[in-house]
Amino acid sequence: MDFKNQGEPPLNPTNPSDPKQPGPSKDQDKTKSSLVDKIQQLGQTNVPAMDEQSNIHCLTIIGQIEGHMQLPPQNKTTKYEHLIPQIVAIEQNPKIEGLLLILNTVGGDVEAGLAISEMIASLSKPTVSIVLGGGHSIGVPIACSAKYSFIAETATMTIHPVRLTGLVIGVPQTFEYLDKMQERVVSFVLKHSNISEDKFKELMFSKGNLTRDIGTNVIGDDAVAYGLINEVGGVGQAIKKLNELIEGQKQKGDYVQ
Amino acid sequence: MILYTIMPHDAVFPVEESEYSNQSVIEWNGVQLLVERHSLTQCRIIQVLSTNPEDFMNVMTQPGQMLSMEPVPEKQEFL
Repeated sequence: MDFKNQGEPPLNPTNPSDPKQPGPSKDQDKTKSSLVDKIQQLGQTNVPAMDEQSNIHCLTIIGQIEGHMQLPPQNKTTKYEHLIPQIVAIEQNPKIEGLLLILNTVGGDVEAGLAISEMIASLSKPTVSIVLGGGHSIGVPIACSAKYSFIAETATMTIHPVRLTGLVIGVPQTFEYLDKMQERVVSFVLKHSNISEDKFKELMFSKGNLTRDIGTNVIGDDAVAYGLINEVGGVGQAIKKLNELIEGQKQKGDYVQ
Repeated sequence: MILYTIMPHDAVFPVEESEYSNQSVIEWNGVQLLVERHSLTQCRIIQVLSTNPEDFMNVMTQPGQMLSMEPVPEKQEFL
């Protein structure tokens, strides 16, 4: 089974004089109606296309990080089985020189989140992460896994202990299991950011910051002050930093040769 | 109805199997797309699963677009 575009010839924004494009005279109505369809579907008609191939690839981590359990389709999720082959492809493809990681996540599966973090941390290419909106729970190690991290001024990161959502801890061993899992998250964050162990644990176990819960909600500037994130900034600064890192990597490569 | 419970929402209201099978990942011109089936031959794009920013610029694969799937006899290639 193959997939075919619906009816109209392919629109190529870089080549408006495409002979396959409907002419202005008799096909005008058709063009108009397909344009109206697009506006209804997308709220926009077109996006500008760049001519050359981008050397920066972008990994977006949104919604919940989905691990071993498949979440219902109404949830917006990032599936690690989708991300991991993409990270492998980024490492392998010589045309890709850097990776931009964009996070707006509420957290999710610890093992899946740590898997993504470890994959990104072990990439040989320059990586820059940026937290927009939120990078909560398991989003914290993912944000730290990049070589350089940014956080938007209004973005937040919630640091809290690992737990099973809403369910009661059954036996003392369950607690130990969760404690070990938490230790893996803590050690990853300490290894990949400038925050001290005491400070991170203090934020994680502090009371009174979150309503009826333990943990801390860290906002933009505070995340930088604690050493969790490198800098406050947006996409512009992140791309600039990534280009600097790519340049640095290239120069290093030249010396080796 | 107000529920006061420690149970997660999904445990109280289980999701129907059919809702999972409605969505699938297809490959279109080398780009992975998350699509929702509308009929036997039509599906709507929900998400572009790619790290290449260029793929998001393609008008044909913008989320919300409909793709029609047709079995092509003999030649197994994109029309």
